[in-house]
Amino acid sequence: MFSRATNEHIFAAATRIALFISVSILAFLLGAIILRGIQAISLDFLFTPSRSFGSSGGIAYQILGSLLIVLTAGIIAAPIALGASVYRSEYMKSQRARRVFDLMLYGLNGVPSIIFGLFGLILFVNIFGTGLSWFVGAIILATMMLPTATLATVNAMRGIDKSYRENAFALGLTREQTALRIIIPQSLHGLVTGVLIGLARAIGETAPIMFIATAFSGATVPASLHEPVATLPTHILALAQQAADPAALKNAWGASFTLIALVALFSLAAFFARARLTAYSRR
Amino acid sequence: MSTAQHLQLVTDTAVQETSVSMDDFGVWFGDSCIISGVTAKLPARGVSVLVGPSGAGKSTLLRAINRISDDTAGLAIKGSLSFQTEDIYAGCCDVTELRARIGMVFQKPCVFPRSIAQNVLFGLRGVKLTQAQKRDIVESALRSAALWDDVHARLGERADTLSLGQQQRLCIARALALKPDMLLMDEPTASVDPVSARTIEALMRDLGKTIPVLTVTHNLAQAKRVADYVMFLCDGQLVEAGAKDHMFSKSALEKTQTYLCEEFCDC
Repeated sequence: MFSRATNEHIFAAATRIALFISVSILAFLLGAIILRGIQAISLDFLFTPSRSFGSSGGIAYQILGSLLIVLTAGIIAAPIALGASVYRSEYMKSQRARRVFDLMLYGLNGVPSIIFGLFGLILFVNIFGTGLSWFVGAIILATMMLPTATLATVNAMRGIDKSYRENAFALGLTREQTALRIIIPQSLHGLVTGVLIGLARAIGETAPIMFIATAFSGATVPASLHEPVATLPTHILALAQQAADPAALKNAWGASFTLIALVALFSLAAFFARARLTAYSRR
Repeated sequence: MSTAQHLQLVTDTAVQETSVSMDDFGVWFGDSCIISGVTAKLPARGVSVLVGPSGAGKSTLLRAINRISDDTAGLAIKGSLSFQTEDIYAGCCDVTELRARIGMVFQKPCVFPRSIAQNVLFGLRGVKLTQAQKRDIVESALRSAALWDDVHARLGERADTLSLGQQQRLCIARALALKPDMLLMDEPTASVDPVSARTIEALMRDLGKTIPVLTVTHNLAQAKRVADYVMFLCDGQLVEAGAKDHMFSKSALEKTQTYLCEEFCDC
């Protein structure tokens, strides 16, 4: 139909357009948030509590609540992801069982976040009667992070040369010793990266924690596990509902900018942790 | 005289004390028979060499001796294999303890991502040792592996900074640090340069004076240089086994002569 050179040009142009669309959407989104959000950012905004339902004051408790809930989620998810990965990699011998396990993780990864929220509401709030609890929110976010962290660790373990295992076994090491001394140190980069990517995703989630862990206003520093916290995503949601008020809208952009900055921070940390820990594990 | 009778006679003459004895031993992976009907005894000292064409089952036999292939899917064992009179495939055998007693060096050197000293002590983790004891073990193992002179000034350096030949000797030192009762070597010189290969060959000869060493090689010149005892496997079966001189010059079996002299096998 067309000459080979024309086909080549059409193909290159089509891929260039696809690249442009994907990059420009991200650039537009980030650009808008940065340009509008930076106007609201100040030390006062970052370090003072919100007032008047967020239309004045800052976002100190929202930042604190978000960090508290996702870091706790990371602490809960990391050992479970590690344990599951070690079992899958070192003890699960059946290829079929491994495939089923992987499939379940991919399935869990694809579950909409609102379903996690609903699950938390039914199990913890309704059945266990926990009430609004930041810790329950952390557990639910940990469940959401689990597939990302586990799959990243499993992939790191899959990449370990089998000769390491063989040499360890040949020295009389048990499977447990081999896992602790060879496999885990060599796959730590996968776990840390997976957890940090999970944190980056979890910190922006509203739906799973909205009904079980957060308060839209009035939450401060929680004194116990059974108290709600304020988080950035729910705060943005609350401010967006008052969009007619320019002060609330300005603060919404500021909170969005802060949220994006935190996501970027976790993503960058994942990038550097991967680079450093990969180098370390190869040492 | 039948082949089996000839084999029995040669084996019994060459082997007085045994380290490993196999009786109608066979290894299967699923439906594939890799080795079968191997009946042989390995001497309690010296270097025994397993030779044979690719796919003969040499490495499988070697790996069966310390049960390193236990986790391979579909593995089935027939007959018996005894190490120092203990049937290692009997239910009571502690596999991790057996592996510590029977050291193994693989074809490709694999050092752990740690220092040279830590690599030597790797198999001893969990054993409480003083710093002085650790130093002694490291020095003794590295000397036994002919590596001490090369690395004594940089024991804290990463092991992967060593050359491949040195890494292979470090793997040998790591196995020797456990003071094994036997050493298995699966083509230990296949990945190293000729000079390192000669060093490792000399090392095998030295080690053979104190413990039984069983090695696999495709290099018949090497087999001639290092072996006290030779086992010739072909197509999963033991064709002949005996003292080196017998095997290389006096074998009555045409198959053995053809392979060991002309490096050709039609089985």
